[in-house]
Amino acid sequence: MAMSKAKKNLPEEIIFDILYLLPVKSIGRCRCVSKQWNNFLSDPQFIKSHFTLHDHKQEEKLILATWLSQLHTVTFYENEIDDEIDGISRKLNFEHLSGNWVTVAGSCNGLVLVVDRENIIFLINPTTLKYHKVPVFDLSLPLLGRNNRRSCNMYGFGYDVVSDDYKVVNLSYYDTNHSEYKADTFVDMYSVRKGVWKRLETPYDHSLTDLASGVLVNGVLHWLACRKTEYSTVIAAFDLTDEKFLELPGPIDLGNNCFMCNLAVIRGCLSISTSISRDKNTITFWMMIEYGVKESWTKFKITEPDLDDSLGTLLCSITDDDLLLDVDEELVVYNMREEQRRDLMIDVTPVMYEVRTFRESLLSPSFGNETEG
Amino acid sequence: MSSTKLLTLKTSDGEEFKLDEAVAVKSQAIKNMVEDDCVSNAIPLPNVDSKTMTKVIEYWKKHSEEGVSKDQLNDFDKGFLEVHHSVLYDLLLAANYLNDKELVDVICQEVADRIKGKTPEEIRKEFDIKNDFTPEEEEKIRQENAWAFD
Repeated sequence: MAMSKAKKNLPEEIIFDILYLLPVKSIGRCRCVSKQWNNFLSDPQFIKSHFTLHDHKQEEKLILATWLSQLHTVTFYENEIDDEIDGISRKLNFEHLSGNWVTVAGSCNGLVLVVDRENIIFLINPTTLKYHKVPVFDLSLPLLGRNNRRSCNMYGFGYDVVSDDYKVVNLSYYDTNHSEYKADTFVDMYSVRKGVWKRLETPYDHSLTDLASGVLVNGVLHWLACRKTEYSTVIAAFDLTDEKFLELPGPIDLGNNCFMCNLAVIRGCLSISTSISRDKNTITFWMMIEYGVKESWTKFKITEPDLDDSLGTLLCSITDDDLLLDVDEELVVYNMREEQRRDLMIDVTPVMYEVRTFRESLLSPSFGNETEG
Repeated sequence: MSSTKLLTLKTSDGEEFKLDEAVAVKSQAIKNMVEDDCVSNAIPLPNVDSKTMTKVIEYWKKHSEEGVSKDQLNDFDKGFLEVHHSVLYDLLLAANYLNDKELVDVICQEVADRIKGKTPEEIRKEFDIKNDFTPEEEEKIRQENAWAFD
Protein backbone atom coordinates (compact mmCIF):
# COMPACT_ATOMS: atom_id res chain seq x y z
CA MET A 1 0.00 0.00 0.00
CA ALA A 2 1.50 3.30 -1.04
CA MET A 3 2.26 5.67 1.84
CA SER A 4 0.39 8.89 1.39
CA LYS A 5 2.67 11.87 1.66
CA ALA A 6 -0.12 14.37 2.02
CA LYS A 7 -0.07 16.02 5.45
CA LYS A 8 -3.45 15.98 7.10
CA ASN A 9 -4.47 19.49 7.96
CA LEU A 10 -5.65 20.31 11.44
CA PRO A 11 -9.23 21.52 11.47
CA GLU A 12 -9.78 25.20 12.21
CA GLU A 13 -11.29 24.74 15.69
CA ILE A 14 -8.25 22.84 16.86
CA ILE A 15 -5.90 25.45 15.46
CA PHE A 16 -7.81 28.18 17.25
CA ASP A 17 -7.71 26.18 20.49
CA ILE A 18 -3.95 26.01 20.11
CA LEU A 19 -3.69 29.75 19.50
CA TYR A 20 -5.29 30.45 22.88
CA LEU A 21 -2.34 28.75 24.51
CA LEU A 22 0.26 31.03 22.97
CA PRO A 23 1.96 33.81 24.91
CA VAL A 24 1.24 37.42 23.99
CA LYS A 25 4.22 37.99 21.70
CA SER A 26 3.47 34.87 19.67
CA ILE A 27 -0.10 36.10 19.17
CA GLY A 28 1.28 39.30 17.70
CA ARG A 29 3.34 37.30 15.22
CA CYS A 30 0.43 35.00 14.39
CA ARG A 31 -1.69 37.98 13.41
CA CYS A 32 0.67 38.38 10.46
CA VAL A 33 0.00 34.87 9.16
CA SER A 34 -3.28 35.44 7.32
CA LYS A 35 -6.35 37.66 7.28
CA GLN A 36 -8.43 35.03 9.01
CA TRP A 37 -5.90 34.59 11.79
CA ASN A 38 -5.62 38.37 12.14
CA ASN A 39 -9.38 38.76 12.48
CA PHE A 40 -9.61 35.97 15.00
CA LEU A 41 -6.65 37.14 17.06
CA SER A 42 -7.70 40.80 17.11
CA ASP A 43 -11.24 40.14 18.19
CA PRO A 44 -11.94 41.70 21.62
CA GLN A 45 -13.62 38.48 22.73
CA PHE A 46 -10.51 36.46 21.93
CA ILE A 47 -8.32 39.01 23.72
CA LYS A 48 -10.47 38.88 26.82
CA SER A 49 -10.61 35.06 26.91
CA HIS A 50 -6.88 34.84 26.23
CA PHE A 51 -6.18 37.18 29.12
CA THR A 52 -8.37 35.21 31.50
CA LEU A 53 -6.72 31.95 30.49
CA HIS A 54 -3.19 33.24 31.01
CA ASP A 55 -3.70 35.57 33.96
CA HIS A 56 -2.92 33.08 36.66
CA LYS A 57 0.13 31.57 35.06
CA GLN A 58 1.81 34.78 34.07
CA GLU A 59 5.01 36.05 35.55
CA GLU A 60 5.19 39.60 36.81
CA LYS A 61 7.36 42.13 35.13
CA LEU A 62 8.26 45.55 36.45
CA ILE A 63 7.49 48.88 34.91
CA LEU A 64 9.22 51.92 36.27
CA ALA A 65 10.03 55.55 35.71
CA THR A 66 13.66 56.60 35.85
CA TRP A 67 15.27 59.82 37.02
CA LEU A 68 15.61 60.71 33.36
CA SER A 69 11.81 60.56 33.05
CA GLN A 70 11.88 57.49 30.87
CA LEU A 71 9.69 54.42 31.17
CA HIS A 72 11.34 51.03 31.33
CA THR A 73 10.04 47.51 31.73
CA VAL A 74 12.10 44.92 33.56
CA THR A 75 11.99 41.15 33.06
CA PHE A 76 13.44 38.97 35.79
CA TYR A 77 16.00 36.24 35.16
CA GLU A 78 17.62 33.93 37.67
CA ASN A 79 21.30 34.55 38.09
CA GLU A 80 23.86 31.82 38.68
CA ILE A 81 25.18 33.91 41.53
CA ASP A 82 23.06 32.97 44.49
CA ASP A 83 22.38 36.33 46.00
CA GLU A 84 21.47 38.21 42.84
CA ILE A 85 18.58 38.34 40.43
CA ASP A 86 19.08 39.85 37.00
CA GLY A 87 16.59 42.26 35.60
CA ILE A 88 16.80 42.98 31.91
CA SER A 89 15.35 46.40 31.22
CA ARG A 90 13.86 47.76 28.05
CA LYS A 91 13.03 51.38 27.37
CA LEU A 92 9.51 51.99 26.15
CA ASN A 93 9.16 54.12 23.07
CA PHE A 94 5.72 55.20 22.05
CA GLU A 95 4.87 56.27 18.55
CA HIS A 96 4.22 60.02 18.37
CA LEU A 97 4.90 60.57 22.07
CA SER A 98 8.06 62.14 23.43
CA GLY A 99 6.93 61.59 26.99
CA ASN A 100 8.56 62.97 30.09
CA TRP A 101 7.22 60.34 32.39
CA VAL A 102 7.15 61.13 36.06
CA THR A 103 4.57 58.85 37.58
CA VAL A 104 3.66 55.18 37.23
CA ALA A 105 0.47 55.19 39.20
CA GLY A 106 -1.35 51.93 38.72
CA SER A 107 -1.46 48.64 36.89
CA CYS A 108 -4.39 46.44 36.03
CA ASN A 109 -4.87 43.59 33.56
CA GLY A 110 -1.72 44.43 31.69
CA LEU A 111 -2.59 48.12 31.38
CA VAL A 112 -0.62 50.80 33.22
CA LEU A 113 -1.46 54.36 34.23
CA VAL A 114 1.36 56.81 33.64
CA VAL A 115 1.53 60.58 34.01
CA ASP A 116 3.88 63.01 32.33
CA ARG A 117 5.48 66.20 33.54
CA GLU A 118 2.49 68.28 32.44
CA ASN A 119 0.12 66.12 34.48
CA ILE A 120 -1.33 64.52 31.34
CA ILE A 121 -2.56 61.02 32.08
CA PHE A 122 -2.02 58.11 29.71
CA LEU A 123 -3.19 54.53 29.85
CA ILE A 124 -0.63 52.32 28.20
CA ASN A 125 -0.14 48.68 27.36
CA PRO A 126 3.62 48.23 27.87
CA THR A 127 3.57 45.05 25.78
CA THR A 128 1.76 46.18 22.64
CA LEU A 129 2.81 49.83 23.07
CA LYS A 130 -0.74 51.02 22.44
CA TYR A 131 -1.84 54.02 24.46
CA HIS A 132 -4.83 56.16 25.26
CA LYS A 133 -4.49 59.78 26.23
CA VAL A 134 -6.94 60.67 28.96
CA PRO A 135 -8.51 64.05 28.24
CA VAL A 136 -7.87 66.81 30.76
CA PHE A 137 -10.75 67.48 33.14
CA ASP A 138 -11.84 71.10 32.99
CA LEU A 139 -12.24 71.15 36.77
CA SER A 140 -8.79 69.73 37.46
CA LEU A 141 -6.46 71.82 39.59
CA PRO A 142 -3.85 73.79 37.66
CA LEU A 143 -0.26 73.06 38.58
CA LEU A 144 0.03 76.48 40.16
CA GLY A 145 -3.12 77.97 41.62
CA ARG A 146 -4.05 81.26 43.22
CA ASN A 147 -1.58 82.62 45.79
CA ASN A 148 1.04 80.49 44.10
CA ARG A 149 -0.18 77.36 45.81
CA ARG A 150 1.05 74.22 44.13
CA SER A 151 -1.42 71.46 43.44
CA CYS A 152 -0.65 67.94 44.52
CA ASN A 153 -2.00 64.91 42.72
CA MET A 154 -2.41 61.25 43.46
CA TYR A 155 -3.82 58.69 41.08
CA GLY A 156 -5.42 55.29 41.09
CA PHE A 157 -6.43 52.95 38.29
CA GLY A 158 -8.52 49.82 38.16
CA TYR A 159 -11.18 47.74 36.47
CA ASP A 160 -14.87 47.76 37.38
CA VAL A 161 -16.12 44.29 36.55
CA VAL A 162 -19.77 45.26 36.93
CA SER A 163 -19.75 47.88 34.19
CA ASP A 164 -16.81 46.30 32.29
CA ASP A 165 -15.00 49.60 32.48
CA TYR A 166 -11.55 50.88 33.40
CA LYS A 167 -11.56 53.85 35.73
CA VAL A 168 -8.97 56.43 36.67
CA VAL A 169 -9.18 58.28 39.98
CA ASN A 170 -7.36 61.55 40.62
CA LEU A 171 -7.13 62.90 44.16
CA SER A 172 -5.92 66.47 44.23
CA TYR A 173 -5.51 69.33 46.67
CA TYR A 174 -3.54 72.51 47.11
CA ASP A 175 -0.35 72.20 49.09
CA THR A 176 -0.97 73.84 52.43
CA ASN A 177 2.66 74.88 52.95
CA HIS A 178 2.35 74.30 56.67
CA SER A 179 -0.25 77.02 57.00
CA GLU A 180 -3.30 76.77 59.19
CA TYR A 181 -5.37 76.32 56.08
CA LYS A 182 -6.72 72.80 55.76
CA ALA A 183 -6.90 71.74 52.16
CA ASP A 184 -9.97 70.21 50.62
CA THR A 185 -9.29 67.10 48.61
CA PHE A 186 -10.96 66.81 45.24
CA VAL A 187 -11.86 63.41 43.87
CA ASP A 188 -12.19 63.14 40.11
CA MET A 189 -12.97 59.94 38.29
CA TYR A 190 -12.58 59.14 34.60
CA SER A 191 -14.45 56.31 32.89
CA VAL A 192 -12.56 54.96 29.88
CA ARG A 193 -15.71 53.49 28.37
CA LYS A 194 -17.69 56.71 28.63
CA GLY A 195 -14.71 58.95 27.97
CA VAL A 196 -15.79 61.47 30.61
CA TRP A 197 -14.69 62.75 34.01
CA LYS A 198 -16.87 63.46 36.97
CA ARG A 199 -16.23 65.00 40.37
CA LEU A 200 -17.05 62.92 43.43
CA GLU A 201 -16.62 63.32 47.16
CA THR A 202 -14.41 62.07 49.91
CA PRO A 203 -15.09 62.26 53.63
CA TYR A 204 -11.33 62.21 54.29
CA ASP A 205 -8.46 64.63 54.27
CA HIS A 206 -5.89 63.19 51.90
CA SER A 207 -3.39 66.01 52.24
CA LEU A 208 -1.81 64.87 55.47
CA THR A 209 -0.46 61.52 54.32
CA ASP A 210 2.36 60.93 51.86
CA LEU A 211 1.56 61.20 48.18
CA ALA A 212 0.93 57.65 47.01
CA SER A 213 -0.89 55.84 44.25
CA GLY A 214 -4.06 53.96 44.99
CA VAL A 215 -3.47 50.32 45.85
CA LEU A 216 -5.84 48.12 43.86
CA VAL A 217 -7.33 45.02 45.47
CA ASN A 218 -10.68 43.45 44.60
CA GLY A 219 -11.84 46.29 42.39
CA VAL A 220 -11.20 48.78 45.22
CA LEU A 221 -8.51 51.49 45.38
CA HIS A 222 -6.90 52.08 48.76
CA TRP A 223 -5.10 55.08 50.21
CA LEU A 224 -4.07 56.06 53.70
CA ALA A 225 -5.96 59.19 54.66
CA CYS A 226 -7.04 61.14 57.72
CA ARG A 227 -10.45 61.22 59.29
CA LYS A 228 -11.51 64.82 59.45
CA THR A 229 -12.95 64.46 62.92
CA GLU A 230 -10.19 63.09 65.10
CA TYR A 231 -7.35 63.09 62.56
CA SER A 232 -6.30 59.48 62.89
CA THR A 233 -4.83 57.82 59.82
CA VAL A 234 -7.08 55.17 58.36
CA ILE A 235 -7.39 53.03 55.24
CA ALA A 236 -9.70 54.81 52.81
CA ALA A 237 -11.17 52.44 50.25
CA PHE A 238 -12.66 53.71 46.99
CA ASP A 239 -14.98 51.16 45.41
CA LEU A 240 -14.76 51.40 41.63
CA THR A 241 -18.27 50.08 41.13
CA ASP A 242 -20.08 52.13 43.77
CA GLU A 243 -17.78 55.08 43.12
CA LYS A 244 -17.50 56.09 46.74
CA PHE A 245 -15.22 55.87 49.74
CA LEU A 246 -15.56 53.48 52.66
CA GLU A 247 -13.24 52.84 55.54
CA LEU A 248 -11.45 49.54 55.90
CA PRO A 249 -10.43 48.36 59.38
CA GLY A 250 -6.70 48.04 59.88
CA PRO A 251 -4.89 45.37 61.88
CA ILE A 252 -5.74 45.30 65.56
CA ASP A 253 -2.04 45.76 66.40
CA LEU A 254 -2.09 49.14 64.73
CA GLY A 255 -5.12 50.23 66.67
CA ASN A 256 -7.00 53.03 65.04
CA ASN A 257 -3.97 54.69 63.66
CA CYS A 258 -2.02 53.62 60.60
CA PHE A 259 0.36 56.49 60.94
CA MET A 260 3.68 56.21 59.05
CA CYS A 261 2.66 53.08 57.21
CA ASN A 262 2.63 52.01 53.56
CA LEU A 263 0.01 50.15 51.62
CA ALA A 264 0.90 47.54 49.02
CA VAL A 265 -0.45 44.42 47.33
CA ILE A 266 1.21 41.21 48.47
CA ARG A 267 0.09 37.93 46.88
CA GLY A 268 -3.08 39.63 45.72
CA CYS A 269 -3.98 40.77 49.26
CA LEU A 270 -4.04 44.28 50.67
CA SER A 271 -1.11 44.72 52.97
CA ILE A 272 0.07 47.45 55.30
CA SER A 273 3.69 47.73 56.40
CA THR A 274 5.76 49.76 58.76
CA SER A 275 9.47 50.16 59.34
CA ILE A 276 8.89 51.84 62.63
CA SER A 277 9.49 49.26 65.26
CA ARG A 278 11.70 48.60 68.23
CA ASP A 279 13.83 46.30 66.12
CA LYS A 280 15.77 48.38 63.67
CA ASN A 281 16.39 45.57 61.21
CA THR A 282 12.78 44.56 60.85
CA ILE A 283 9.97 45.43 58.51
CA THR A 284 6.64 44.36 59.87
CA PHE A 285 3.68 43.94 57.61
CA TRP A 286 0.17 42.61 57.77
CA MET A 287 -1.73 40.93 54.95
CA MET A 288 -5.51 41.01 54.85
CA ILE A 289 -5.96 37.39 53.83
CA GLU A 290 -9.73 37.69 53.52
CA TYR A 291 -10.67 40.99 52.03
CA GLY A 292 -12.75 43.14 54.37
CA VAL A 293 -12.42 40.81 57.33
CA LYS A 294 -10.62 42.57 60.18
CA GLU A 295 -9.64 39.36 61.94
CA SER A 296 -7.89 38.08 58.84
CA TRP A 297 -5.06 40.60 59.08
CA THR A 298 -2.03 38.34 59.50
CA LYS A 299 1.32 39.59 60.70
CA PHE A 300 4.63 38.89 59.00
CA LYS A 301 8.10 40.10 59.76
CA ILE A 302 11.11 40.55 57.56
CA THR A 303 14.21 40.57 59.68
CA GLU A 304 17.44 41.14 57.86
CA PRO A 305 20.65 42.27 59.44
CA ASP A 306 21.33 44.36 56.35
CA LEU A 307 18.26 46.41 57.07
CA ASP A 308 19.90 47.82 60.16
CA ASP A 309 19.97 51.58 59.95
CA SER A 310 18.46 51.45 56.48
CA LEU A 311 15.17 52.77 55.34
CA GLY A 312 13.23 49.86 53.95
CA THR A 313 9.86 50.02 52.23
CA LEU A 314 7.82 47.08 51.08
CA LEU A 315 6.80 47.72 47.45
CA CYS A 316 5.00 44.64 46.12
CA SER A 317 5.30 40.91 45.60
CA ILE A 318 6.69 39.51 42.36
CA THR A 319 5.98 35.83 43.00
CA ASP A 320 4.21 34.04 45.83
CA ASP A 321 7.38 33.98 47.88
CA ASP A 322 9.38 36.91 46.55
CA LEU A 323 8.83 40.42 47.84
CA LEU A 324 10.25 43.55 46.27
CA LEU A 325 11.67 46.06 48.70
CA ASP A 326 13.21 49.47 48.42
CA VAL A 327 16.16 49.49 50.79
CA ASP A 328 18.03 52.77 50.75
CA GLU A 329 16.98 53.48 47.18
CA GLU A 330 18.08 50.07 45.89
CA LEU A 331 15.69 47.37 44.76
CA VAL A 332 16.01 44.22 46.81
CA VAL A 333 14.15 40.93 46.46
CA TYR A 334 13.36 39.12 49.68
CA ASN A 335 12.32 35.47 49.59
CA MET A 336 9.88 34.82 52.43
CA ARG A 337 10.28 31.07 52.43
CA GLU A 338 14.08 30.97 52.49
CA GLU A 339 14.29 34.23 54.45
CA GLN A 340 16.94 35.36 52.08
CA ARG A 341 17.60 38.70 50.52
CA ARG A 342 18.91 39.14 46.97
CA ASP A 343 19.95 42.27 45.17
CA LEU A 344 18.18 43.05 41.94
CA MET A 345 20.78 43.85 39.29
CA ILE A 346 19.27 46.17 36.73
CA ASP A 347 20.86 48.68 34.42
CA VAL A 348 18.51 51.56 35.18
CA THR A 349 17.95 53.67 38.26
CA PRO A 350 14.29 53.79 39.10
CA VAL A 351 12.48 56.46 41.02
CA MET A 352 11.56 54.18 43.88
CA TYR A 353 7.94 55.01 44.43
CA GLU A 354 7.24 54.78 40.69
CA VAL A 355 7.82 51.04 40.40
CA ARG A 356 4.89 48.74 39.67
CA THR A 357 4.37 45.20 38.51
CA PHE A 358 2.35 44.23 35.46
CA ARG A 359 1.60 41.15 33.38
CA GLU A 360 1.66 40.94 29.62
CA SER A 361 -1.71 41.18 27.93
CA LEU A 362 -3.19 42.11 24.59
CA LEU A 363 -5.84 44.36 26.12
CA SER A 364 -6.36 47.70 24.48
CA PRO A 365 -6.20 50.84 26.62
CA SER A 366 -9.05 52.39 24.69
CA PHE A 367 -12.47 50.89 24.21
CA GLY A 368 -12.74 50.93 20.47
CA ASN A 369 -11.67 54.57 20.46
CA GLU A 370 -8.82 52.98 18.65
CA THR A 371 -7.05 55.90 17.05
CA GLU A 372 -3.93 56.37 19.11
CA GLY A 373 -0.67 54.45 19.19
CA MET B 1 -14.96 -7.76 42.00
CA SER B 2 -16.48 -7.71 38.54
CA SER B 3 -14.38 -9.18 35.78
CA THR B 4 -12.61 -6.64 33.65
CA LYS B 5 -14.26 -6.39 30.29
CA LEU B 6 -12.12 -6.40 27.19
CA LEU B 7 -13.06 -4.24 24.24
CA THR B 8 -11.89 -4.72 20.69
CA LEU B 9 -11.02 -1.67 18.64
CA LYS B 10 -10.55 -1.93 14.89
CA THR B 11 -8.49 0.73 13.13
CA SER B 12 -8.74 2.04 9.57
CA ASP B 13 -6.11 -0.38 8.28
CA GLY B 14 -7.93 -3.41 9.67
CA GLU B 15 -5.81 -4.07 12.74
CA GLU B 16 -7.54 -5.05 15.96
CA PHE B 17 -6.57 -3.92 19.46
CA LYS B 18 -7.83 -5.52 22.62
CA LEU B 19 -8.05 -3.23 25.59
CA ASP B 20 -9.53 -3.13 29.09
CA GLU B 21 -12.81 -1.25 29.04
CA ALA B 22 -11.68 0.72 32.06
CA VAL B 23 -8.78 2.11 30.03
CA ALA B 24 -10.61 2.51 26.73
CA VAL B 25 -13.26 4.76 28.23
CA LYS B 26 -10.68 7.53 28.50
CA SER B 27 -12.13 8.14 25.08
CA GLN B 28 -15.46 9.83 25.61
CA ALA B 29 -16.54 8.54 22.19
CA ILE B 30 -15.88 4.93 23.19
CA LYS B 31 -17.47 5.54 26.57
CA ASN B 32 -20.65 6.72 24.88
CA MET B 33 -20.74 3.64 22.71
CA VAL B 34 -20.30 1.40 25.75
CA GLU B 35 -23.12 3.15 27.54
CA ASP B 36 -25.34 2.89 24.50
CA ASP B 37 -24.52 -0.78 24.51
CA CYS B 38 -23.35 -1.12 20.91
CA VAL B 39 -20.06 -2.85 21.59
CA SER B 40 -20.87 -6.46 21.08
CA ASN B 41 -18.42 -6.67 18.20
CA ALA B 42 -15.26 -4.76 17.47
CA ILE B 43 -15.60 -0.97 17.68
CA PRO B 44 -14.69 0.47 14.28
CA LEU B 45 -12.38 3.49 14.28
CA PRO B 46 -12.14 4.39 10.60
CA ASN B 47 -10.37 7.69 11.32
CA VAL B 48 -7.44 6.21 13.21
CA ASP B 49 -4.64 4.06 11.76
CA SER B 50 -2.89 1.32 13.71
CA LYS B 51 0.36 3.25 14.09
CA THR B 52 -1.45 6.13 15.79
CA MET B 53 -3.70 3.84 17.83
CA THR B 54 -0.64 2.09 19.23
CA LYS B 55 0.66 5.40 20.53
CA VAL B 56 -2.69 6.43 21.96
CA ILE B 57 -2.99 3.13 23.82
CA GLU B 58 0.56 3.55 25.11
CA TYR B 59 -0.51 6.92 26.56
CA TRP B 60 -3.74 5.57 28.02
CA LYS B 61 -2.01 2.63 29.66
CA LYS B 62 0.67 4.78 31.29
CA HIS B 63 -1.93 7.20 32.58
CA SER B 64 -4.00 4.35 34.02
CA GLU B 65 -1.10 2.72 35.85
CA GLU B 66 -1.18 2.64 39.61
CA GLY B 67 1.58 4.10 41.73
CA VAL B 68 2.99 6.41 39.08
CA SER B 69 4.09 9.76 40.49
CA LYS B 70 3.24 13.10 38.91
CA ASP B 71 6.92 13.63 38.07
CA GLN B 72 7.12 10.27 36.35
CA LEU B 73 4.02 11.04 34.32
CA ASN B 74 5.49 14.41 33.30
CA ASP B 75 8.69 12.71 32.18
CA PHE B 76 6.69 10.16 30.24
CA ASP B 77 4.61 12.86 28.56
CA LYS B 78 7.72 14.78 27.56
CA GLY B 79 9.24 11.77 25.87
CA PHE B 80 5.93 10.73 24.39
CA LEU B 81 5.51 14.09 22.67
CA GLU B 82 9.03 14.24 21.26
CA VAL B 83 7.92 13.18 17.82
CA HIS B 84 7.86 14.59 14.33
CA HIS B 85 5.08 17.12 13.80
CA SER B 86 3.24 14.89 11.34
CA VAL B 87 3.02 12.19 14.02
CA LEU B 88 1.89 14.81 16.48
CA TYR B 89 -0.89 16.01 14.20
CA ASP B 90 -2.04 12.42 13.58
CA LEU B 91 -2.16 11.95 17.35
CA LEU B 92 -4.06 15.18 17.79
CA LEU B 93 -6.61 14.30 15.13
CA ALA B 94 -7.05 10.84 16.68
CA ALA B 95 -7.39 12.21 20.21
CA ASN B 96 -9.94 14.71 18.94
CA TYR B 97 -11.89 12.02 17.08
CA LEU B 98 -11.80 9.73 20.11
CA ASN B 99 -12.77 12.70 22.27
CA ASP B 100 -10.10 12.38 24.93
CA LYS B 101 -9.90 15.92 26.27
CA GLU B 102 -6.86 15.33 28.45
CA LEU B 103 -4.78 14.00 25.57
CA VAL B 104 -6.02 16.75 23.23
CA ASP B 105 -4.99 19.40 25.76
CA VAL B 106 -1.55 17.90 26.27
CA ILE B 107 -0.86 17.72 22.54
CA CYS B 108 -2.25 21.22 21.89
CA GLN B 109 0.15 22.61 24.48
CA GLU B 110 3.04 20.82 22.77
CA VAL B 111 2.06 22.25 19.39
CA ALA B 112 1.72 25.72 20.96
CA ASP B 113 5.18 25.38 22.48
CA ARG B 114 6.55 24.57 19.06
CA ILE B 115 4.93 27.61 17.47
CA LYS B 116 6.23 30.00 20.11
CA GLY B 117 9.51 30.88 18.49
CA LYS B 118 8.41 30.77 14.87
CA THR B 119 8.07 33.58 12.36
CA PRO B 120 4.79 34.08 10.48
CA GLU B 121 6.33 32.50 7.38
CA GLU B 122 7.35 29.40 9.32
CA ILE B 123 3.91 29.18 10.89
CA ARG B 124 2.24 29.36 7.48
CA LYS B 125 4.40 26.51 6.28
CA GLU B 126 3.67 24.47 9.39
CA PHE B 127 -0.09 24.69 9.02
CA ASP B 128 -0.23 24.94 5.27
CA ILE B 129 -1.85 28.39 5.28
CA LYS B 130 -1.92 30.72 2.34
CA ASN B 131 -0.68 34.26 2.80
CA ASP B 132 -3.66 36.30 1.59
CA PHE B 133 -2.24 39.72 2.47
CA THR B 134 -1.18 42.07 -0.29
CA PRO B 135 2.39 43.34 0.22
CA GLU B 136 0.99 46.68 1.46
CA GLU B 137 -1.41 44.96 3.86
CA GLU B 138 1.33 42.71 5.14
CA GLU B 139 3.59 45.69 5.76
CA LYS B 140 0.80 47.42 7.69
CA ILE B 141 0.08 44.37 9.86
CA ARG B 142 3.77 43.92 10.57
CA GLN B 143 4.04 47.55 11.67
CA GLU B 144 1.04 47.28 13.96
CA ASN B 145 2.53 44.22 15.56
CA ALA B 146 6.17 45.27 15.49
CA TRP B 147 6.23 44.92 19.29
CA ALA B 148 5.91 41.16 18.87
CA PHE B 149 9.05 40.83 16.82
CA ASP B 150 11.91 41.80 19.09
